[in-house]
Amino acid sequence: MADSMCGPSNGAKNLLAHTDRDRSMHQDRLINAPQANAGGSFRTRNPAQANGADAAFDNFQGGPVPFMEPHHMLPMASGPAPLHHHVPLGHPSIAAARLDSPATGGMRHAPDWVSEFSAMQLNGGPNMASSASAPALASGIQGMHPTTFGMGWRPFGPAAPQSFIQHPTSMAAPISAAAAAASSTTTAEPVALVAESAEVKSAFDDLFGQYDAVNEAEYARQTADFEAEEAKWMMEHGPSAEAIAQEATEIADEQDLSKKRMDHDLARAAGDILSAVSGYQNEKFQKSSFLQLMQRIADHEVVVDEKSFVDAETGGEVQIQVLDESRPGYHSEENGEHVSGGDDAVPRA
Amino acid sequence: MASVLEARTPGFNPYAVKYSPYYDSRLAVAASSNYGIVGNGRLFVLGLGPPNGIQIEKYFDTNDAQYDLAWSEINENQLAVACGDGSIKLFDLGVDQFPVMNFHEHNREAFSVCWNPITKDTFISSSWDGTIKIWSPTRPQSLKTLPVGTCTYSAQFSPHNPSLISCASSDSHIRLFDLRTPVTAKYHLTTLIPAHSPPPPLPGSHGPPLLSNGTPYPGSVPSEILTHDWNKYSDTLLAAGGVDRTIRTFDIRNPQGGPLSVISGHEFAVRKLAWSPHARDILVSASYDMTVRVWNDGTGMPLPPGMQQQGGVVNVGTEMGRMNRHTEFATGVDWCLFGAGGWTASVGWDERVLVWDAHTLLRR
Repeated sequence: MADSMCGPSNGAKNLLAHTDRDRSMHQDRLINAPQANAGGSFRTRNPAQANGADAAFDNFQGGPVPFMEPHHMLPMASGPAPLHHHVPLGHPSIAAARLDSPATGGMRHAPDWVSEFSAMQLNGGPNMASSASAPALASGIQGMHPTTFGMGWRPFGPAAPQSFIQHPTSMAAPISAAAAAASSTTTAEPVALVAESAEVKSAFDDLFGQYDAVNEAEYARQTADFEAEEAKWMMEHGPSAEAIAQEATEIADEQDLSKKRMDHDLARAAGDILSAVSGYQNEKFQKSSFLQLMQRIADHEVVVDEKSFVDAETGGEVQIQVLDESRPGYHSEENGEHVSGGDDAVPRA
Repeated sequence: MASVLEARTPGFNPYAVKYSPYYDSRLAVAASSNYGIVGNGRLFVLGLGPPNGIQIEKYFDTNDAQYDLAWSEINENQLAVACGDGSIKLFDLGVDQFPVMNFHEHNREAFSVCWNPITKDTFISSSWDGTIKIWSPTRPQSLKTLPVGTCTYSAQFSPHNPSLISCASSDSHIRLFDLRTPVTAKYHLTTLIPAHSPPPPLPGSHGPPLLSNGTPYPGSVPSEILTHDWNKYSDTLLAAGGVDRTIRTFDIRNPQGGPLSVISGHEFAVRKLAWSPHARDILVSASYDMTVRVWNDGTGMPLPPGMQQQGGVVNVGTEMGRMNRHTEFATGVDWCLFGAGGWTASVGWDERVLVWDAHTLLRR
């Protein structure tokens, strides 16, 4: 339970509140901001008045992006770059219009953070993707596959980077388009981009087909080799045919023993039931189908199969015919009363 | 002869019957092939009414035996079934063949299931694995597991308190779990009632306590309790019966106080009992002696002269009527909530469902 919920406060608790305050860099940046106590939001502050921590953060955002450097896969995965693949890259004017709504305070009220956000999300995105993503991916994959994929892995051919990028993942479309447009500018007409993308796609498909054919043949050959080696090893070191047959016999014997034990337990339980009712001379008990079945089980005439009772000798399924009073001849007195008051029945008032 | 409506469950031996809490003409039967020893199960939904009396309206098959069922209190078309493989299956009358939910956490046979009659949003199951599990019909995982430690044949929600769960076990004890208590080492266990114990001797008295008929009551040896039920009028009264052929009623406020009433008469174990929803001192029981009997718990009977001032007297219940038509073990019985009161459904391993009016027994 939180301390603040536990009754009246005291001086020690106030001191605790001071010492508990978060003094991390993140908190300092917000708490020590000049507008922090003036009722303003950090969204509407003037960056010119920012303190040192804010300035450092701005520099970090405006500085060179780490994943621009090739041969580094990790910054690609964890840095800010993948963000623009997932954020819808709408037209800047649409995004700005959306931002310029009363709900967000509007462009007029918050020009600084909106323009900053637009600059960060829209202006920098396509250029980064077109110029850096494909080489970074290619080098990253080539750098990692020997350890990542282990035995049996064949390095990609010269078309490997493109082939990998073409692989249908969530990143496939934007990256392949960007890779295709790597030598051109990012302001190309969308129609041209689509056409070019189709051409590149077909080329990738061809390359992929070639790669698949080679790879599958190689995989089949390796599998055959492995199986042959495995069979050879088993011939030399594995158990003999006699041992295998003996083991199978033992397993069958064990299953048979288990089945016999289960049948014996059931027969004993049936015998217990019969002995419990043996002293009870009642017409219904003498004609009970259940008790007759228990008698046959106790005599080992009937055993349990997987899903039913079977005859122990013939193996045929035992049909249980439930006898009841509606069958002719069930009662020794056909007009016998079946629903009766108890011996000491007391009429209810 | 009293009028009895009859339906058959061909090829399946019934284990439990329950009236719908929504319709007076609908009831369901959980049944198993080969007496539940081996094979599959079938859930029958029966409709009462002309022209044929009772007819099977729908049935659902399961791969394992079925031992108990409970109608949903929140959806009139759904019901839960306790299966031999430890699963609880929720069937919907609007969905053919397959259950709409499967709750499988019990390691051994699930033997009883009960829907919360007050909050209606949960149900419980008990199993031979020695646990009670609380479920929500919308979640496949259990909400809570209450350890019992022995085979638990019967678990019930109190009809008066949604947080109170009772169970009857093979160790001759009735346990009460109060979910309002914090989870301690006892996992909400608040009360433990030894069903076999006699009342404690009164100060200054010698010998065992007396029954209201004047005979001494020394208690009995511990035996398995197979069934129990809450009284529908007194929120502290419950009845339990089992292998020792005796039904006893207990006040949960005095767990060590012994039984309030002792009801003897069945010649074999009591398999199922149910308090009447229409009278506070009437209950019905189904037994392995192939009879279904209606009892008065004896609380309304005047004590004999000389015992009225004496405390600690255990009431003796009396048999009010006997339904003797089942020709195999009677395994399930339930009261109809609707109508004038007294309509009862019973099932037995003779593959029959019998619906009859207990009043016809009481008048005799």
